[in-house]
Amino acid sequence: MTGLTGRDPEEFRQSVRQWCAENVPVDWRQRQTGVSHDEFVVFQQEWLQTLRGGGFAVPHWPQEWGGGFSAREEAILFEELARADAPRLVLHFVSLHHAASTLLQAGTDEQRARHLPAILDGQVWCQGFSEPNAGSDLASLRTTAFRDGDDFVVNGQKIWASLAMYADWCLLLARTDPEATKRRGISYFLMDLRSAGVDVRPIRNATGEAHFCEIFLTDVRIPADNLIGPENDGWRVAQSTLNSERGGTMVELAERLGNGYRWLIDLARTTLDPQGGPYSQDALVRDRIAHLGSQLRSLRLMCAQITDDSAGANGIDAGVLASIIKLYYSELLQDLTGYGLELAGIEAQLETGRPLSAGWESGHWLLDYIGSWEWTIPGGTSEIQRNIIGERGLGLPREPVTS
Amino acid sequence: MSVDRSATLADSEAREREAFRAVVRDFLVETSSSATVRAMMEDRSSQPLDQEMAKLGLFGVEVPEELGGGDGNFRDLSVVLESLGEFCAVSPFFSSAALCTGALLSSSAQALRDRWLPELAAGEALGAVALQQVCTEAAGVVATPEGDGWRLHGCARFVPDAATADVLTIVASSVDGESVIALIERGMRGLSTAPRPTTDGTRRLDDVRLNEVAIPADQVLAAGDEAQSLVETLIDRYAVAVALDSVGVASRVLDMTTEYVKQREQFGRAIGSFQAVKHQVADMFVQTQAVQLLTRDAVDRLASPADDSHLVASQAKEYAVTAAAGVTGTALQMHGGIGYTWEHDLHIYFKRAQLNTALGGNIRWHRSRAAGYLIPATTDHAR
Repeated sequence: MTGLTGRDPEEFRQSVRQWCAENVPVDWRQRQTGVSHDEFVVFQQEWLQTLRGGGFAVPHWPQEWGGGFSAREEAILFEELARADAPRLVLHFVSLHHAASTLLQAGTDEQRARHLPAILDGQVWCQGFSEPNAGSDLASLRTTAFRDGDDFVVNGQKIWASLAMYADWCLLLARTDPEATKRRGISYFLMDLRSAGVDVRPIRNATGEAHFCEIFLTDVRIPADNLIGPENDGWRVAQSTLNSERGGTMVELAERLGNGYRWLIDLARTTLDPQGGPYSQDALVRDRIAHLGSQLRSLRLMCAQITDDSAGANGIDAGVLASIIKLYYSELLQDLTGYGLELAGIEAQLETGRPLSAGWESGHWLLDYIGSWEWTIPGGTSEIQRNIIGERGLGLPREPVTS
Repeated sequence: MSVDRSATLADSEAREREAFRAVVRDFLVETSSSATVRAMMEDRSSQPLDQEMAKLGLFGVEVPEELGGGDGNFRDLSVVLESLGEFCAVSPFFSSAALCTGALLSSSAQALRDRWLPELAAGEALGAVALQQVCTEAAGVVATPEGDGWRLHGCARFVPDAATADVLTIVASSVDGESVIALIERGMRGLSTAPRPTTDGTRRLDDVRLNEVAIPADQVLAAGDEAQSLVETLIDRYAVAVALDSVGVASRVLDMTTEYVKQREQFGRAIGSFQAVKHQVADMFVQTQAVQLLTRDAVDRLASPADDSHLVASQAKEYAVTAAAGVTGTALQMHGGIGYTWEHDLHIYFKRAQLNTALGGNIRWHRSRAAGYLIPATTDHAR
């Protein structure tokens, strides 16, 4: 994280709050419900440029690229965006976070100059990591890239690439040395999705929406200039950039879960139990809501540890902390939306549509609850997170790794 | 999250506090070993440890310097409370330094403060507070006006360290519902205690019986609105003190379990390498982290008065004791048969964690209190 900019935190908070009051479209949830994918993309691109106009699109980037916020300022920004119930930058999530941090940490000057300004202009990225047979065991991926003159020629299949149907570029992991042990022979590429031989197919998921895609790659040529980091060192590059610079994001998700918590309380106050009183006066319901509130406060405190300018008091490794927060957040999201579903009763079973551009909680409790598995499975399943926490956090013996 | 304008100062205070934590831990390693704790549980006396803690000035950590204390705050006190949990220490510190001293520090009764705080700070006198009844909504001690003062009658149940206390803080209420908080010295006419031995042997509870005890006005710590607000403050302190103890218990049990699953081998490998074990220990770690952060946040709110201190104190209490009870249970499962023996220390932690769930208001009571702040009241027409 970069240092303090010297702005007074409270004045900064007030200025963001004012900006939100003037710029967050009041009716965006209605406008983004039941709309076409094109309308979603247009809305997202407009919102990115609105945020950029306020200087808020890339707070976590270095100052020379348009960011330079302190960790505390970034946290304040995301708290205020969540407080104003602003739309989320769903379409640009991979671009602004994974692609940018990869370019900043491992890219060449030329690669940065080519892509970082383009990302600010709205270039969309997706992640080509997982494969049908390489999920939690990502290092067993089989997509190949072989050198042919100035190019690499790629063949294989990727899956679970978020919003790849709208993406321009792809962060691609492919095997360049089939003879090496499995983590050693992987390289990391920047792949233009408009290249010949790329076929992107959306997957309709359990909520009925299409968010993830399959990407089929047949003799796709990637110029060698688009290799990021050293050849055959892609696994290490991907590991070091995966969880970086996500502190502000987690603050945002925690604060948005706070919005979901308020909706849960509203639900309990407006839903009648079989005796005719509101659920909010039922001792069992109050008990459960209180406990969820305690957990939510713990989550916020965990997130504050990553964005705290001073080193975390508990001295936990940043990667382990990221795993703890991801696990804790995703399970709390599941519990909270599941409880909303339980309280909402039969009404919540009716067919409904969620607004696009929103967070993970929308008040459409069944779809929110189903959608919570998008947090416990991708990005390292809860089981993988527990391995990381056990092994790196507590020093327990590692899982046996087959090579 | 609130923004701290004096981050540098806070950092240096935090570093000092961690240094203090190391001193307290080293002290407890010496004075509160497993063997010592077990011996104290047998003969039900903590006197040698009390004297050593008094020598270190621990009882007066929070008391102003001019009254012989260490001039610290609740954050400093919290370091001792959490550490005592880590060792399952047998000590009246919780009752005397956190509760009775805290009651005096939070009150405006100048004469009583001057009378008791120096002795309490020095550890020359021990205090206790009868508050358990307040957190159960049960009728306890009834106060009847008499002259300038009051006459107290009834029974305050499950009071930690009452039998050994030199001074007892009693919360009573009048038939009109007015709250009265009185300080009662040991030996006063009509005062008696009866031990209520617990399955956890590390804390001592007593019932305090008050048979028409006359309380002159100068022994009244607070009455009326001031008493009501002091009761809430004391509930917060009681709640957070127990939460800190549970955080200490959970941290220590997590360490014990981590070490054990690393060295215990079955099927030719350390059991901690099996995901069925590893994942449960990882969950113990996550839970312990969650409640440690929450409880330390509650400590901050008690140290520097905050609007939501009642809410956060109850949240810390309900979650910390729930988590510690869960963590000790999982620890027992991870240890297998050896953890179920009397010889192993795990049962001591297990029982302390269980007692903490009920001490100072049970889980349901604190969730109900928190809900009162979290859920806006519904207007009648909604019914």
